[in-house]
Amino acid sequence: MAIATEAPKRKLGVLRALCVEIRLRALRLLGRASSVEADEIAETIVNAEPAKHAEGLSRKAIRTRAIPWYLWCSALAVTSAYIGGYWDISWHRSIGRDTFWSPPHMAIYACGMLAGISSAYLILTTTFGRNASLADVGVRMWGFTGPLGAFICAWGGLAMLVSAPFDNWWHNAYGLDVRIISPPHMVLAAGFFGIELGAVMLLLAFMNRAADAQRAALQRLFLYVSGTVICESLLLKLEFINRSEMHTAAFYIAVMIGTPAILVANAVASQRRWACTIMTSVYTAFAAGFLWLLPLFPAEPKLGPVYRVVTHFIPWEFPLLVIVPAFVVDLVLERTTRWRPLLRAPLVGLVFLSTFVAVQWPFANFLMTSRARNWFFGAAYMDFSTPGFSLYARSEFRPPDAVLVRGMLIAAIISCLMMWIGLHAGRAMQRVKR
Amino acid sequence: MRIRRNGYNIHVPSRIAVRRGLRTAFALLVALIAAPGVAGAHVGSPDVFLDGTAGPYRLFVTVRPPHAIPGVAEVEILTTAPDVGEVRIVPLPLTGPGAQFAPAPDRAERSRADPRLFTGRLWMMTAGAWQVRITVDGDRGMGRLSVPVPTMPQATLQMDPALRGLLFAFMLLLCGGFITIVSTVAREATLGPGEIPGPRARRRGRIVGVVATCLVIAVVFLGNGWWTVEASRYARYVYKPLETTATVTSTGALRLTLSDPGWIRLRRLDDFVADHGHLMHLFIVSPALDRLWHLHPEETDTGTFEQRLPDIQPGRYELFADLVHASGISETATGALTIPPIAAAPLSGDDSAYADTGAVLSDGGRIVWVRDEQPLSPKRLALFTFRVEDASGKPADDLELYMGMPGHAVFVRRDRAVFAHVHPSGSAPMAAIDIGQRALEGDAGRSADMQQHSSHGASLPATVTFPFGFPEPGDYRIFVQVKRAGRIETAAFDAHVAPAS
Repeated sequence: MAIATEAPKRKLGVLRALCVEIRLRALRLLGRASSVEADEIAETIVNAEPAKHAEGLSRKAIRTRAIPWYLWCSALAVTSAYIGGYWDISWHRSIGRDTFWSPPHMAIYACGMLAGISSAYLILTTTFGRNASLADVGVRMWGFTGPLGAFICAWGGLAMLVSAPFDNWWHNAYGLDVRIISPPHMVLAAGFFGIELGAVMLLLAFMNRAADAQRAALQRLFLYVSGTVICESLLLKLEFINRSEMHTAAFYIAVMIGTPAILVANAVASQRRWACTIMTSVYTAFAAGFLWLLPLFPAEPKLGPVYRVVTHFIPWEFPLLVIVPAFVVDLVLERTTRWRPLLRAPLVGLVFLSTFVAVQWPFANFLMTSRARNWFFGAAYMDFSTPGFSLYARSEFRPPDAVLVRGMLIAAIISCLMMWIGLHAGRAMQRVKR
Repeated sequence: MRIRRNGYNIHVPSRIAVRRGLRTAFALLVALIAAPGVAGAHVGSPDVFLDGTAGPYRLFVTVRPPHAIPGVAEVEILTTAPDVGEVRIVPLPLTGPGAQFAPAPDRAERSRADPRLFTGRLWMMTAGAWQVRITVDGDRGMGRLSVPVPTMPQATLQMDPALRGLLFAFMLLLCGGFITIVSTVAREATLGPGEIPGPRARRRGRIVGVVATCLVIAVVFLGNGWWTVEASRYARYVYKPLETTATVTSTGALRLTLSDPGWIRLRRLDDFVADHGHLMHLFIVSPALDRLWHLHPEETDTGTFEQRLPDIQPGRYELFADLVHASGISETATGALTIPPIAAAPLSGDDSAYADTGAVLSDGGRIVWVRDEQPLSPKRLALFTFRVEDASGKPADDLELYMGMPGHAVFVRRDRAVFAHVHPSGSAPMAAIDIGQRALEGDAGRSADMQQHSSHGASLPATVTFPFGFPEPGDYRIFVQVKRAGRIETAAFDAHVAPAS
C-alpha cells in the first residue's frame, strides 16, 4: 500500500514526508494504526497542512487503538502469579523454609492485588456509569455491571484471599506442608486459575470486538497470557514430571491432563497462525529464563537434613519440549480447519502425544548424561534434600513399569479427549463478546 | 560447684556460691508466651528445659516444640555471661542420616530488653527425636551444645467457631459466585453490544446454572472427602503413647507389658537404652500423691519388664514409666494397677519409696524448698532449688550422686495430667543428651567428660537445683530425691500454679 504518494512528497519536501512515512510505518508496526487509518492519514497529507493534521490524527489513533491499562494489568497479574509460584518452588528447593512475607509469596499476592485493581476498576466504573462504553458490552451480576472477565478475576482474587486463613489453619492443624497439592493450596490454585481465566475472558471479549491493528495487538497479548496459563498448568504437575519419570506412562498421562486442552482451546480462540507454537514459546522462554537466571542468586538451605551443598537458587529442570508437538499441532490445525471436532480431536491428540513422546523420550536420555550437567541444560541442579541414593541423584530412570503400553494408551485417550474439549471450548471462545 | 557431664551442667553450687545464689535462686529467667501442648516425652509437659554448657558459656535453654509437625519450635537461650557475641541455632534429627547433614544455622536474635537473652524459631520437619544445636561465639572463643527435643505431633487442632463460620461464609460466596458466573457465561457471553438475552439464552443460562450447581456440590463433596482422608492420615501421625498392661504375678512381681498402638516406624520395642543405668524408671504413685515408689524393672522379654514389688499397701495406683529408645525418642508409658496383698521384697539398689513424710528425712533432717514469695506461673522457666539439712538444721555434708545425678525431681499435677521427671541438667533424659553430644563432640570428648564427671562424684554441696517450667496452671506435687550416705531420701512439696495473668 502506498502511504505517501508522489504528490505530497513534492509539496512537503523530502525530509518532512520521510518523517511522516516513518512515523506511520512505526504506528502500523506497533499495531496502533490500522492500514485504513494509514490511508486516511496519507490522504490528509495530500491536503493542506498535512503534517499537522496527520500528527493530530495519529495521536488520536494511539489513544483509541492502544490496549487499555486494565488489560495490561491483568496480564501483569498472571505473570506475577507464575513468577511467584515458580520462585516459591525454587525457594523451597534451595532454602527450604519460608514465611508468610517471603518475596515469592509477595509476587503471588501481587497477582491478586493487580487482578483486584483492574477488575474493581472495570466493575465499579461500569456499574456507576463512568465507563458507559463498557456498559453495553458488560454483564449484570448481583447488582453490578462489568465485563465477564472482570467478574471471573474478582472471583479468583476472592478465592486467593480465602485460601490464606484456610492455609494458615491447615498448617497449625496438620503441620507446615511443603507440598504443592493440598486442599488450601488447591483453593489458592483455583484463585490463580480464576484470575488466569478472567484475564483470558477479558482479553477474548476485547479481542473479539476489536478490528485490525488493535485486534492483532490483543491477539498477541492473548497468546502471551495463554502461554502463562500453559506455564501454570505444567507448574502444578512438577511433582510428577521430573526427569526420572520421563520413561514412565505416568509422566505422559500427567502432561496430557489439562495442558493440551488449554493449548488448543486458546489457539482456536485466538484465530492466529502458529498460536500453539507461540504459547509454548512463552512457556519455554519462562522456564529456560528461570533455569539460567535463578542460579545466579545466592541461597543456602535452612532446613535439615541437607544432603547436598546448595549455594544458589535451584531452578526446575530444562523446559519440557512441548514446543515441538505444539508446532506440529499448529500445522495439523491449519490443514484441518474444516474437519469436524470428532475427527479432528483424535488426529490432533495422537499427533500431539506421539510427537511429544518422540522428542521427550530421547531428550530424557540426554538429560541423564554428563553432557547435560551444565548451566544450559541444568541437569546438575538438585535441591538440598535429594539424598544421594535416590534415582534422581543417580541420574536414573524409574524402572519401566509393566503396564507401559496400557499407560500410553490411557495417555493417548486423555490427549484425544483433551483436544476434543479444547476444540469445542476454542470455538465457543471465539464467540465471546462480553 | 558444678559437675559437668557431656557439656551439661548438673548444677551443684559451692557453699559460698549457694549462699549468694540462694537470694536469686528462684528468679524467673525467661518469660515468653508458649504454645499449649498435651503430649511429649513426659506427660502433658512437652517443653524442654536445659541447663547446659557450650564451651566456656553456661546456657539456660528452653525449647517449645511445635504442636503440629512439621512446625516451628520456639527457642530461648539465656546466657549467664556478658561476653557472648553471637548465638546460632540449627535443628536436625537426633539420630539417623539426617543428623549428619545440618543446614545453615540461624542467628538467634538478641533481646533488646535483656542482652543475655537470645531467641529464635526453627522448623522441625518430622516426628521423633530432634535436636537443636547451639553454637556460641564470644570473647572466650566458641562452644557448642546439643539440646534433644522430642517432636510429637499432638492432637489435631480444632477449628475456631468464628473461623469456621467465616470460611463457611466465604465458601458459600465462592460457590454462589461460581454458579452465577458460569450461568452468566452461558447466557450472555456471546451477545453483541446492547443485545438483551432472549428466551433461548436465558434457558441455556438456567440449564448451565443447574449443571454448575451439581458440579459445585460434587467438588464440595469430593473436597470434604479429601480433607477427611488428609485428617485421618494426620491422625495416624499424631503421637500415640505406648500402651501398658500391668499385672501382679503370683510371686508378687509387677509385670509391665508394653505394646505399640501404631505410630511412626522409627519407634520400636526392642531398642530401649539405659538412662542413668536403667532401661526403665518406674514411678508408682497413690491417687492422693501421698505415696511414691521409684523402681527399676528389668526387661525379661521384648517389651516386657518385671520386678518384685516392695511393701505396698493393697489398692489402686497409677504408673509412669520413663523409657528412652536408641533413636533418642523418650517416652513415658502410663497405666494403672490394683495391687493385691503380696509377699513384699525389700527395696534394693537404686529403688526408693516415699510414704507421706512431708519434707522430713529418715534421720530427722529435712529438705527445704528455697523460694521467694513470687507466685508460680505456667510456661516460664524457673530454677527450683532445694537445700538438704541434717537433723541439727545445718546443710547436709553427706550427699552423694543418685544414679549419676545430685538429685531427681518429679513434678506431678494433682489430676496426673502432667508428669515430668527432671534432673539438675533439665527435663531432657540423659540418654538422649548423650546421643546428641556424642555426635557433636565425638566419643573422645564424651570420655573426657565422663572422667570429669566421675572425678567430681565424691563430695556434693547440700543444695540441688532443677530447671523446669510448669506447662499448665493447677495444683502440683513435687517429689525431690537425693542420696545421703548410701540412703535414698525423698521429700514432697505442694505447689499452686496460678493461671498466667
